[in-house]
Amino acid sequence: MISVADLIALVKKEMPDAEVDVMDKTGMRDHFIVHVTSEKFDGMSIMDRHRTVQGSLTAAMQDGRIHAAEIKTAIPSRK
Amino acid sequence: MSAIENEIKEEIKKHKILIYGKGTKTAPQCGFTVETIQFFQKYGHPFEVINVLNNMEKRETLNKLTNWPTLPKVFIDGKFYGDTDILDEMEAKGEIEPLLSAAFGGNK
Repeated sequence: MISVADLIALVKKEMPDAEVDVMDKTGMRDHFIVHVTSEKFDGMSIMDRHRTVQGSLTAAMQDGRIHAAEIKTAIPSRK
Repeated sequence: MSAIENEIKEEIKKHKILIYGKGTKTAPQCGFTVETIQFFQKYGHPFEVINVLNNMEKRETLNKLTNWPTLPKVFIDGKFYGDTDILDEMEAKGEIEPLLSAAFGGNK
């Protein structure tokens, strides 16, 4: 189990500029949907974007704090 | 290279669309594996599901080969593409159609 705030902190440690929205899918604090929006994704392949986010969560995935994380990535929409 | 790595390399070469997942095509054991099967059923190309649910050694080898911690793991035309999180975003950007027609020698 991990709190939404701690999960966001893990991602932001890797990507300080990112906007991170997290939804706890089941209320059990181990199945999450993680939306990450960042300028850095611009020009990155979808695979690399996801590797970056996965990378920031690896420790919490391996020690079981996170059971499943559905990741969605996006770049800030140009106004 | 270990026997398991050889086995994986052969499987990846043999199937243009290959899903390593939990359960089989007709009896998937995990929601994400179901989602991945449904994803490819839309396109109508043949695909294979290889059940690694109880094969921890193969799962560890796959994790190392792909540097990707979770299942399912999708390979298209021998290349690793993660799971439906990635495939959905690629689809939204129109990247799946050309990829599959290239893999199956699409009649452009």
